[in-house]
Amino acid sequence: MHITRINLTNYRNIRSWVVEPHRSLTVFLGPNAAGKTNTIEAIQVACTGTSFRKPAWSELVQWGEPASQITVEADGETPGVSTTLVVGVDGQRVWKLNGVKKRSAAAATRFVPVVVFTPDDLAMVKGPAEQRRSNLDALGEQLSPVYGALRRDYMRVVRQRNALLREEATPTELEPWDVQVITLGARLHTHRRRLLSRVAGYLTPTYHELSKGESLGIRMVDRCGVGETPIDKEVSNDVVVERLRRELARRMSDEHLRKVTLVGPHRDDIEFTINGAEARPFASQGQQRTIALAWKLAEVRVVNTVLMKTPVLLLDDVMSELDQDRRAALTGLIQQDIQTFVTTTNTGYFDPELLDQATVLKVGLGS
Amino acid sequence: MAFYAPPIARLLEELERLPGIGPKSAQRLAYHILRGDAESAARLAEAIVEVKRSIRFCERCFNFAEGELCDICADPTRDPAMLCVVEEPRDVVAVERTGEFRGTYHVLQGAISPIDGIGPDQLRVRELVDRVGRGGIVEAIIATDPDIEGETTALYLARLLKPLGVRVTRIASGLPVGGDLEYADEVTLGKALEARREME
Repeated sequence: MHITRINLTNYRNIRSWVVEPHRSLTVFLGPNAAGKTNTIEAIQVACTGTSFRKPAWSELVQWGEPASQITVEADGETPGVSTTLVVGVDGQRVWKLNGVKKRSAAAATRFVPVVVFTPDDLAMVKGPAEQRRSNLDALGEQLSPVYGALRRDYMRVVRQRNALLREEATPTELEPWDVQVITLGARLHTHRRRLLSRVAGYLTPTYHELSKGESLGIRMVDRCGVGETPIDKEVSNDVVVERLRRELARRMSDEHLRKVTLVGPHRDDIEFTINGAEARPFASQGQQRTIALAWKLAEVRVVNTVLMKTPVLLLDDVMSELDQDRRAALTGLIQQDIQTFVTTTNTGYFDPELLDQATVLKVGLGS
Repeated sequence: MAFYAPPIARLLEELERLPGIGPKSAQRLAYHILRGDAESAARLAEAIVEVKRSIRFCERCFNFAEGELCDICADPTRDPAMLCVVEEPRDVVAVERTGEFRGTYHVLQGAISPIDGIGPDQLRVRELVDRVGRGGIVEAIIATDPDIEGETTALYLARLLKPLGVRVTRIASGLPVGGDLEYADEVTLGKALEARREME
């Protein structure tokens, strides 16, 4: 897929800007706080319906303006698609697909898959479990709307159940919520496990290559009572249901004491090992970065195989964080017909030959 | 500076309290009322006062009613053995429109949602259990919304009602009739697959 045109109006600090990006590489060049990341975010929002910054919707509207508008046009599907989002200061959203109003973001987006890589992702090995979960979930949601709907439903069940636990509810009142945690939780965990094993299939060899010979291990640490089963072994939904039910019974008194849902996939975690040693406490900065980079490269491959579309790669200020070899691994994707958008303060990170075939756009304050 | 004369401002304020009415719609409605004659304004005001004065909840099913019982509960041709449990009075209207149901209703007046402080005690659950417990009901069809709160309410009711010896069923959710499979959204299609049934 290729984005052919981006049109931003009153979006964050951008009053009005039309970008006709290059089919391979588009570089947004400018000083800090100029609005480079805003353009990357706008592309992600229009393509997926979510932003890696997780803002309140009203924050997307330029100060003092009633509404903000993003339109992203893409080809690769016949005929081309155009997605428009209008956000009001009250946070109200109107989604349009090819100019026709749609009832939900899901109906107007998801034509162009994106893989986003930001400096925050570099901390994914040592960061909180939430970061690793949402990385995986964001990919899952792009691959299947069922995954997204399931995750939202499950998280709602957890919030409702937590509210009940805080009120010291009776077992009869809790029971239907337990059933929901078990049914939806098992399904979410099964989906996640399957997705993680797909990612791992590409992640392990990529890491091996980038690190010149180190071996990466990936494990799913679950709070569903499934136990540390290797991720390449499929665990059936029925088994997860049974284990969750047992685990929920086992932790019941703890849950009543702490007044929060302790069992379920909302507490799943992913653990990496390098040559057998746990990466979280022992990996060097360089190794952590390589894992993050290999993860993103794996995402590209997974999107490619599952959706049979090439994703658009959005790189926010990560070039300065990577050394030359790792930068080359990323820019290598550009040669594989993966349209790439990069923000940077300095074009020195790029091979001059690459820049010759790219569009470099200067982003200044208030452009 | 006041943009509107105080009586207009007051009307706008009241209109904006209504669901789905923003400042622009409120203004359009207010100007429509102002342009019209005094009689139509009085008719509207009367209708609003009258509906609040004369409508109450049916003593049996908690649907809106003009008397002690709603029209459906008072109708002797309706089958009292079939009970359809819904969240809101507007859901009764939706089921009635199908013309497929000749039983009676029970309106819960909401769904269980701990975040909003709504538990079984805030709903007409006790009344439902009493009603089923008195006997004469063969099947309870749980027709709450197919969202998280509606599904959980259905699970809760099933646990309460089954021991009373009634058949408890849940309405199916899935594909719209007359639609093409290829146009169904993935989430709905997924639910339809999950709730598939064996063919006879």
